[in-house]
Amino acid sequence: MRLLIAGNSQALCLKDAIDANPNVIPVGWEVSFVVTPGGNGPYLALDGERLVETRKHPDHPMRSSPSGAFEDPIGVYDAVLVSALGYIDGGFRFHNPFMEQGALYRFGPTGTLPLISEGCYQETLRGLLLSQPGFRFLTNLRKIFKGRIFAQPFPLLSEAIIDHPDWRLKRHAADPVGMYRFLSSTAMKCLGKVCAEANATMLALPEGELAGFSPRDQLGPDHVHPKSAFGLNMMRQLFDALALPETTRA
Amino acid sequence: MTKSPYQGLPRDRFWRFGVASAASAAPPGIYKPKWLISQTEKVATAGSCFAQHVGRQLKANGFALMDVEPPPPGLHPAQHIKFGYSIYSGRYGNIYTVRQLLQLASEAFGEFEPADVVWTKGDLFFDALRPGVEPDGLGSAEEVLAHRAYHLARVRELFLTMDVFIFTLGLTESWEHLASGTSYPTAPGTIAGSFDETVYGFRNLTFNEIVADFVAFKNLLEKKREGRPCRFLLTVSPVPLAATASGQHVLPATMLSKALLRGAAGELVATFPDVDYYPSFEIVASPWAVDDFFESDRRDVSARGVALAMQTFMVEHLPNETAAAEPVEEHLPAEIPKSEIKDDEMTVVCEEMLLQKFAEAG
Repeated sequence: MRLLIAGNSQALCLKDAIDANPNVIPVGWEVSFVVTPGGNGPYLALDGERLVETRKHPDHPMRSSPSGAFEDPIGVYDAVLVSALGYIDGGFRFHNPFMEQGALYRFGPTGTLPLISEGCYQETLRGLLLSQPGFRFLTNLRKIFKGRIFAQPFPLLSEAIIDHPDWRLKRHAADPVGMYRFLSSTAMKCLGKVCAEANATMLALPEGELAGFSPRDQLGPDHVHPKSAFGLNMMRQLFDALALPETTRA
Repeated sequence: MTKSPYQGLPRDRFWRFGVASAASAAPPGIYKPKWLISQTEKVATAGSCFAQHVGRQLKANGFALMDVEPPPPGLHPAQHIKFGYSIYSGRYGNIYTVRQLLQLASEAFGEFEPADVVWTKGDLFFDALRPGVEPDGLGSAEEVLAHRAYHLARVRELFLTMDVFIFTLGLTESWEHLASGTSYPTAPGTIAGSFDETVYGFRNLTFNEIVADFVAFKNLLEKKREGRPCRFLLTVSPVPLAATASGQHVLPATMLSKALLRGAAGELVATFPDVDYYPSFEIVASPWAVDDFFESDRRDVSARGVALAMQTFMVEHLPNETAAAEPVEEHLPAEIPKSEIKDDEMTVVCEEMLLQKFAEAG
């Protein structure tokens, strides 16, 4: 049986996990990867049964493993994992305008962003996420693909981000922890709803000692990209779910 | 030889030629602006529901429409109106009376402190002076006040920097806080709050009050702008009252309101060279309007009515360009199918319409 992991750079931890722990793949399963760079991806679409790259980055081309995996029609796969969806905060390293839509009163606005309401910010974030190429890929995938679909949520920022002086959210809120929790929970709810509508299974994220953030030992130095331990967690969840009979689709 | 003062007047001064035999849908010459508005001047809009059409059409036709409280950059255009964005030049919601306008300006410049600014509905808190801009309410009274402070700073900036202010006069009827005279856009209890007759009362503004309030507003701006000129274009909304608390039938109540507003506009135009009037009311809703420009409820102005009213405006202010003959449709991103988005031009936010549900419940 075949599993396709269609993802963005978050899929790297899954590859690392598999390479370090090949036994995580049950007997009888083959895993293929098609990945595109950029946190809003994967930048993929389906033209009939064929995967199509929707954005070509000159310095970071699409990659697939095995090398010909991109050419296979989607119908040859038994399951697809979309990795990872719900990118809203780039921490200190990456700029994500999703976190600069406005200031929220409850979290002590600082900086120069205009004050907006929580309801408005949630609506804004939902709209932005739904327009992300990765979300659109998931939605369109269900229209064409008959097998099981899984979605890996974008990891919560590492707990370590709280101590980083350049965490961008600190420019906009006196309580960046609270604001991040509020917005990341909005993103998770949005992804949950999309998964439910697409009859896709959403994998669970690990949390650290600080609720709403990833364990610091599972994310790398940029606090955004996970290490292979995180990837191993995701793969185990995935194959445990695949081992169970699929529940009847609505 | 006896000479009549009517001799030699242009033909449009005579009903027979100006209206009865007029070939076009809007009688020719019905609008002769005192001054033109250029596309480089900063134009601000405010007023009652009908003013929303004015702003959209001005922007679509290339005028420099101000917006001092733009929406979050990522908020989908289909959601702007829901949160009070992209309707007027500031996020003040509908301003139905001149008294409301005067109080807003006075508050923005620190010369008036409204009473009872926060209304509640369940666990939610609303800005009583613009209750429609946050449909989900806010989390606390303090948050309402913080949002209002931000809003007033933006309004202050608007009033100090605009070149032309277009205001649509909507109503004479209003509800106010009895002790302070604070005037609200909706009755307490309609969107939020609760009506208490010992605290709030009905006021039907008189002709003298309307004129005096506008003059006070104009004078306030002149003082704060330190003489930097600003021109004012008034219109009267052709939309009838959704409901009246005057004790009369809604039709004569409407006629009285519109007559007073039209009369006040005329008085102000005659008094001040920098105040002009645009006859959208006459084009759409006067008893002698050339065609029927209302929807079946006899209240909503049809798209054709809006188009004609705005076309007549554009023809004068953009004489070298062909004005849009139909309402200009806003272009929305392709992600959301157009069928899922209401026709934005006709989606007018009007708290007055909420009053209709009270009638239906009865």
